[in-house]
Amino acid sequence: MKDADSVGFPPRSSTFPTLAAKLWILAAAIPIAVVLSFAIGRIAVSPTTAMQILVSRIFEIPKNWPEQAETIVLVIRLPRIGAALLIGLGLSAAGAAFQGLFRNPLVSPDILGVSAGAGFGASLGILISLGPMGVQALAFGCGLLAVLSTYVALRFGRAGETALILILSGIIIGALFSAFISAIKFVADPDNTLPAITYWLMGSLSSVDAVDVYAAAGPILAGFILLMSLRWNLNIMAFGEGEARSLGVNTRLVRSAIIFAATLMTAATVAISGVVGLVGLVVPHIARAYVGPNFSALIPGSALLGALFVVLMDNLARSLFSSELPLGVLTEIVGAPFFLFLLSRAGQVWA
Amino acid sequence: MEIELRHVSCGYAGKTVVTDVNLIVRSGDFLCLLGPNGVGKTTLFKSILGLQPIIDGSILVDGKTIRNWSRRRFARAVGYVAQAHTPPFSFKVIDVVAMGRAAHIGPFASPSAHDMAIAEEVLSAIGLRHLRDVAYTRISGGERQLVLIARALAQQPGFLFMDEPTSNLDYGNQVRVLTHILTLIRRQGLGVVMTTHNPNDALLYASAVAIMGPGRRFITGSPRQIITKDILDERYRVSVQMVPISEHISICVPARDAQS
Repeated sequence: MKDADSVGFPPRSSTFPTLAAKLWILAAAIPIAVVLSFAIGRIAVSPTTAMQILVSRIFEIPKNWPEQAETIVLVIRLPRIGAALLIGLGLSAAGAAFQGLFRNPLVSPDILGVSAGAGFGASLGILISLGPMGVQALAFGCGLLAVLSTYVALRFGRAGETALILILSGIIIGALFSAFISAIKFVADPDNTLPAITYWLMGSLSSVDAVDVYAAAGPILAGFILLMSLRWNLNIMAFGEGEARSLGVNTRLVRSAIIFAATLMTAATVAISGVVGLVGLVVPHIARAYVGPNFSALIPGSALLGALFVVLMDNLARSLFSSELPLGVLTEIVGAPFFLFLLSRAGQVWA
Repeated sequence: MEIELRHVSCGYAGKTVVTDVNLIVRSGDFLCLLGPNGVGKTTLFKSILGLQPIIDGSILVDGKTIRNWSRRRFARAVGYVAQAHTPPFSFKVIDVVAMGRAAHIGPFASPSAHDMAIAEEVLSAIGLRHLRDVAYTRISGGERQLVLIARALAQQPGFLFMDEPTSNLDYGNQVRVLTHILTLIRRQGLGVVMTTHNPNDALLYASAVAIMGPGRRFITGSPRQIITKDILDERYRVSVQMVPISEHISICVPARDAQS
């Protein structure tokens, strides 16, 4: 793999499998998970049938499946799986990037207030009955606005953009937008608007359609490409501002670009799925244990593992109980004990 | 190459810590910077390195002011070796050394095979090839300091600035690090500026010495001119005596009466 070679993992490395191989193993697991995911859900469709339906969209093949199966695969499960892949990739890559940028392994992608901002935008959209596209657009816009406020708030002070000040500022902005969400919930109609807001905030893929996936794919993939190009510089940012500058890094440019990329990705995921918690915090840790701390491998590793994780979690969300569980609730229930387990052996992972 | 400080004053907003420093360091020089705690050695270093603004005066590299230089351009001329510390993630030693290539790579790229070859080369040159794949967080303080020196060498600068590179090291590692620095100066013609708390480092290794504060003029000269009983007594407010160890070299020790 050309990429891994250029970042210093020669194939004669003593560890096996090599880093490049580990990334390929993750990449290969995704199509397998995707094929299985088509079969999982209320109405059974065999993986073979699902594949035939997908292939029939491109090539002319004899049709031997019911119309209903085609609807389920193409209209319901395909966009849903696509959204799960994008969300997992986006949140996990953004989380890994923020953990490096803020030199803190306990940071998640919403540390600068993006989720609270997007939640506020969506709540407002639902309150004024904007319709699904309007709600998403407003969520995305307010997510970006929240992070921008965090950034601008620092301009009034003389403290400068140190990592700690940014995080504290982000926590305050996040709290502010959470208060706005509560205010909206308070005035919302308790019979229909309030449950809609509450359900949206839990994070779910049950109403995702193809248009959502197209809308989110742009910002998420653009942010991901930007992060991929910055990933080696993330290693240096993890050594701190002063050291990075003395090594010749334009830290202001790199930091702004990383925050922009991660915010774009996170805002877009929250806009289509609501708050799918803990993915951006937990997945980078698992990825770090597998591919190591070098961001050259950790960014793609987190992205692949995150995509895999959310696809599998969404399968559980729609098959575990007779009525569907919100995805965000499930990722937090699964993620929390897992994270505690990681913390208990933190010495090996970080130190 | 030559780096010159002309009437440099620096400090924080509203408080000048260091005033009117004049200094020239050339390739092949080994300058030790001494001074009691709190006289602004680190502040002066940070200002020279552009990590905080200078209040007055100018810094010139080969006669040209560096005021409008980019971080990259400056980092190709001057490398900085921080005191060894622990980063939050356990990067491999070779990856830490490769970070020295940042000034040659640019923000949106990764090291090429050529960059990695340079990193491998400096790691071997400093004698740490066997630690290549070990986590930086798992090696000893002395090894970590050497890795940081290797990283600065991968930067391929003309000058190295080192902030107390020996302060946290055991005696053996102190000697090893200083010997390595001397070798680098002789073999590669680097210019090195190093802060230290041990006047004997300056006497035994340095080609020039500068001493700062407290509240007094910044003076420079040869080790034998600066590291004298009078100057050390005055600057550090202690009593020392100079003990000859050979025909040409004396070292300083606390005076007998001060030991009782």
